[in-house]
Amino acid sequence: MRILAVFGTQGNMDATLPAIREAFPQAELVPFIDPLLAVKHCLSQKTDSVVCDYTLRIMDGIQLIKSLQKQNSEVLPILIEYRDWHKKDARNLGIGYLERPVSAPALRQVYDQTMRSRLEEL
Amino acid sequence: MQSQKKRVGGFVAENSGLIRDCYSILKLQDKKRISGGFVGQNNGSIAKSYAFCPTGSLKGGFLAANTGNIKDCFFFHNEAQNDRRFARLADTAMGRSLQKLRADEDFQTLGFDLERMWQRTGSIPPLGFTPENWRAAHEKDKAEATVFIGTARELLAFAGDVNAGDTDARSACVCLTADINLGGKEWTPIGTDRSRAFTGLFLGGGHTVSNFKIQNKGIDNKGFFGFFRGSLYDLTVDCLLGEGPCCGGIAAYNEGEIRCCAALVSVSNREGLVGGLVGVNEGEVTCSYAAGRLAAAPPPLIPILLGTGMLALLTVILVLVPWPWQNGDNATVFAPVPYDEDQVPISGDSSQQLTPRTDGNFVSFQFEREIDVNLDTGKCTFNFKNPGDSNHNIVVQLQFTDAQAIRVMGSTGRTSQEQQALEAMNGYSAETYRTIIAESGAIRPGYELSDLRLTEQPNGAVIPPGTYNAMVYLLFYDINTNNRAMLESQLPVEITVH
Repeated sequence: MRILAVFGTQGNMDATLPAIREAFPQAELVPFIDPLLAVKHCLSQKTDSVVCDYTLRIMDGIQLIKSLQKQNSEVLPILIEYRDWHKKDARNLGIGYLERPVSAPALRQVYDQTMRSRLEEL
Repeated sequence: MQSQKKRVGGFVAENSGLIRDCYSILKLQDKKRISGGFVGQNNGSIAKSYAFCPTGSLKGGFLAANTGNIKDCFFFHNEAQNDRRFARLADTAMGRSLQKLRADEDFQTLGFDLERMWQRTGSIPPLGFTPENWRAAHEKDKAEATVFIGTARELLAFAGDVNAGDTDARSACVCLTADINLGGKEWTPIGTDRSRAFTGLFLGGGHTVSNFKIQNKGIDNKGFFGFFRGSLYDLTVDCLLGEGPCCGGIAAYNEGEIRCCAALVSVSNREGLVGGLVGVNEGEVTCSYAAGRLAAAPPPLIPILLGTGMLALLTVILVLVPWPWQNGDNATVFAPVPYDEDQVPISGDSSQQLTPRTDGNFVSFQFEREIDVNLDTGKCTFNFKNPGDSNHNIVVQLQFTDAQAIRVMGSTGRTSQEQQALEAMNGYSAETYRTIIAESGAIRPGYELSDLRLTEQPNGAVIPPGTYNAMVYLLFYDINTNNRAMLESQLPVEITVH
């Protein structure tokens, strides 16, 4: 399993990567600050999931997820923000939504829920 | 020695970090530095943000220089669409006339989220944050708080601990429990240098820290925080900042995250990097705004020697009504013009120190009709008083008609491009258009101001010694709502320039 982790700042990355590692100990974690590099990576490498900030450089998290899903519709997305400001948009698009601070159990729970929703749709 | 171009921005001077959902409504008066209504130099990313400020002396309505990423960002203006002043701006394509933005859909088309984040005010600023969503901190954040601050003394003690190098204080989770008025005190920023930067969590709780100034020339980085590397939520500051290499109302340098914060600032600074909210941003700022005034400071002052005779006091009482489009309860409260930093409480006669009246709109004021203008100090002495029973702040401008300005100064004071643009407009007349030659900040009821400051003219024109007729122009702002009153007042005066 390969997870792209895309964050707006180094601080957010430092704060969140441990929780992702703890939630998915077997996964290969590929972190990015630049969302365009994440999209480029997705073009050449199979990607299973993306965990990203809403606030990113160049584009927002929802735009990044849409770009990644254009390459690979199987990518399971989880969006992180400080409040529930974008929860509704995320839910409408089938994106998992997490508020900071992120904990491993909460991340795992959102991942499982999003996966279940996707399977139900199928 | 490496030369560095200084930047000025209504929100941030230099950005290498992330900014999203923010706005600035500052009046910028600086023609020497590279200035943008929102950002001076952007090397990072800015999205869904706007600036609203007079574009007269700016290099860019939103930004002056850009090597980074900008998305869904604009500067709003009230100028005519064919106004030539926009042609010289670095970012004309980012300009949007407010006259064409009349409905929610107009702003949504530009990318602003009016369902949750933003709301249209129908006033100035055109967009504000939705109050119920303008809060970043969670309840669980508050549960982590270890330091609670509710008084000026506690805040000063905390700042002292951080600046003394106390590592527990630097990384603490701090929670403000009340609004704090620092009583006009000189403030030493929290985290005066990078090694003492605050790295913890600071929860403003929606409170305001007000009435402080940072004018000590020994402090290089001026702001509520000097260097900031932590997380700051839900704080408003209201302050005066002076000369220094780097200034910002919330922080001079930000390498952390700032959410749902505001800075109401008045900055007098000639040399440094100056931003309304943050000087230099290398972190993340979201859902925040800056309002107030940024100006190049006046020339160094020397003692004033003035004749005190010929006092001709004028007292006027007016009944005012608010602008009809500022609809009371829904109007966004902001500081359109910061308080004048030189005003002082009216001394002596206790009858002047009255309680503001609450029975309707009421103002009174008095000043001398003969004004002494000292070119050495840059001051115009006029001894203006706004008695305590007024319920409006007053801003005073000293004006020439354009015709008078041309007779006295040889030009209107505008740049040739600005003047050409103005003359191209229908209805321009040198007898009716005015040039501001001096201006105050807001003068509160119960306060007096002895001097106005001469305004730097964009084309460098100065008033030669002599005696001239001029006009005092008064603008009134409600003390509770900051709504501008519909009635403005103008009175003829005589000025003596020496």
